[in-house]
Amino acid sequence: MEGPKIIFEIPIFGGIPVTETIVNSWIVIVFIAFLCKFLTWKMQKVPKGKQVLAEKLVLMINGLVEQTMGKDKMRFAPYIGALFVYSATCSLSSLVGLRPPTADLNTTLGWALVTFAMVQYNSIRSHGILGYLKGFLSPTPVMLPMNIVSEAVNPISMSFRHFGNIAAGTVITSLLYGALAAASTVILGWIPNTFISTIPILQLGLPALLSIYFDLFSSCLQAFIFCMLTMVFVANAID
Amino acid sequence: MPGETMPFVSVDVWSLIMTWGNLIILYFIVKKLLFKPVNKMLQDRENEIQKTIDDANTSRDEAHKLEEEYKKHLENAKEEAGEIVKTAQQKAQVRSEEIIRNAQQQASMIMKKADEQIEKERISALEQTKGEISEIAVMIAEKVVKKDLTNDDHERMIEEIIDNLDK
Amino acid sequence: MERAIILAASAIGAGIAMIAGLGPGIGQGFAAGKACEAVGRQPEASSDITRTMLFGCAVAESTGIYSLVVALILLFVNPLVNML
Repeated sequence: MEGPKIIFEIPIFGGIPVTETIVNSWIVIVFIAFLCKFLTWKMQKVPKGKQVLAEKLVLMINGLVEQTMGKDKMRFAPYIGALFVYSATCSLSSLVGLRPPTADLNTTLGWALVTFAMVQYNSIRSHGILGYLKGFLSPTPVMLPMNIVSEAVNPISMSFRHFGNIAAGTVITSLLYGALAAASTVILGWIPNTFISTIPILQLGLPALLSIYFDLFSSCLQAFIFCMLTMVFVANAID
Repeated sequence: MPGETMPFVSVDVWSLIMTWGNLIILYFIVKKLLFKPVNKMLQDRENEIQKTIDDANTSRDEAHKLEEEYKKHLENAKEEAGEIVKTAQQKAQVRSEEIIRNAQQQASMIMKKADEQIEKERISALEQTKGEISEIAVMIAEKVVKKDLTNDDHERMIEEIIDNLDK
Repeated sequence: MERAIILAASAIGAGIAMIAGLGPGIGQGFAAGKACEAVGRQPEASSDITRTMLFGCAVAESTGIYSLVVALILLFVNPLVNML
C-alpha cells in the first residue's frame, strides 16, 4: 500500500510537489461547482426536479446547524455545508476509481487544523484574550497541561478518525481485490491460455457489496461526524 | 520528483497549504452557487406565502366588515319597513276615522232632513186636516142650519165630530 | 538479517495493535443495543436516536481507528527500518 503519487511539480520554491490528492481534490471541486450550478439552474418558485434536491440539501444543513449550534450561529452554515459536501464527495470519488483525497492524512489534517483555528479564534473573540487564557486554568491551575493536551489532541483525533476510516476502506478494498484476483487465478488456472486464466473474474461483482459499506456508508458517516464535531467544538468555543 | 509516491502516512506542508486553498475555494463556490440562491429562493417563497396569507386575512376581514355592514343595512331596512307600515297604519286609521265621521255626518244630515221632511209633512197633514175639519164644520153647520137643532143635539154632534176626528 | 527481524516484528506489532479493535466493537455493540431499546421504547424518536447512536459510535470508533493507523504505519511506512 502506497501513498499518493506526485503528479507534477510547480517549479517555484525549489519545486512544489502536486500529489494525486491535490489533483483529485481539484477534480472534486470542479465537479461540485458544476453540480451546484446545475442544481440551482433556473430556479423557480415552485420547486421541481433537481431544485428539490438542492433545497433539501440546504435545508438539511441549515437544520443541522440550527439544531447543533443554535439560531444565532447560522453564519457557519455555508462552511459546514461546504465541508460536508467536500468531504462526502472526496470520499465517494473512490467509486469512480480516483484515489480519495480523504485517504491522505494531509487533507483531513488540513480541515481539522481549520476547525482548530476556528475554535481558538472564536473562543478568543467571544471571551477576550484573558478569558481565553483563563479557560486553560479551569477548574484548577494544576489542570493546565491536561487542558492544553486535550485542546491540541482534537485536530489530531479528528483528522486521524476521518483519514483512518477512508484509508482503511481503500486498504481493505485493495486487499480484497488482490485476494479475489488470486482466487480467480485458482479457479481459472486450469485453462492453458494465459490471457484467459488471468482474468480476475471474481472481481466483477463481489467488491460492490463491500464498497456499499466502505464507500457509501462510511463516506457519508465520516463527513457527517467531521461536520458535527466541528459544529460542536465551535459552538462550545463561542458559548 | 514526478512519478514518486509519498509515504502512506505523512505530513507534507505544501499539501496542507493546497488543501486549505482548496477548502477556501470550495467554501466560496458552495456559498455563492448553492447557499445564496437556494436561501434567496426559500426566503422569496416564504415571503410570497406570507403575503398570500396576509392577503387572505385582509380579504377575510374585509368580507367580515362588508357582512357587518350589510347586516346593519338589513336591520335599518327592517326598521324602515316597520316605520312605513306603522305610518301607513296610522294614516289608514286617520282616514278610516275620517270616512266614518263623514259617513256619520252624512247620516245625521240625512236623518235631520228626514226629520224635517216628516215634520213638514206632519204640519202639512195637520193643515190639511184642519182644512178638512173646517169643511166638515161648514158641512155640519149647514146640516144644523137645515135641521134646527137643539142645544143638546148640538153638543152631542160636536162631541161626535170630535170623536171622529180622533179616529 | 536485522531488517528481516524488524519487518517481522512490525508485522507482529501491527497484528497486536489491531487487538484494540475489541474495545470499539464491544462499545458500539452496547451503544447499538441501547439504541434498539430506546427505539423500542420510543419509536417516534427513532431518527434522533439513530443519529445520536451513529455519532457516538463514530466517536467511540476512534480508538480502533488509531490502532488501525498504527498498524498501517507499521505495515506500509516501516518507520523502524529507517532507524537502522
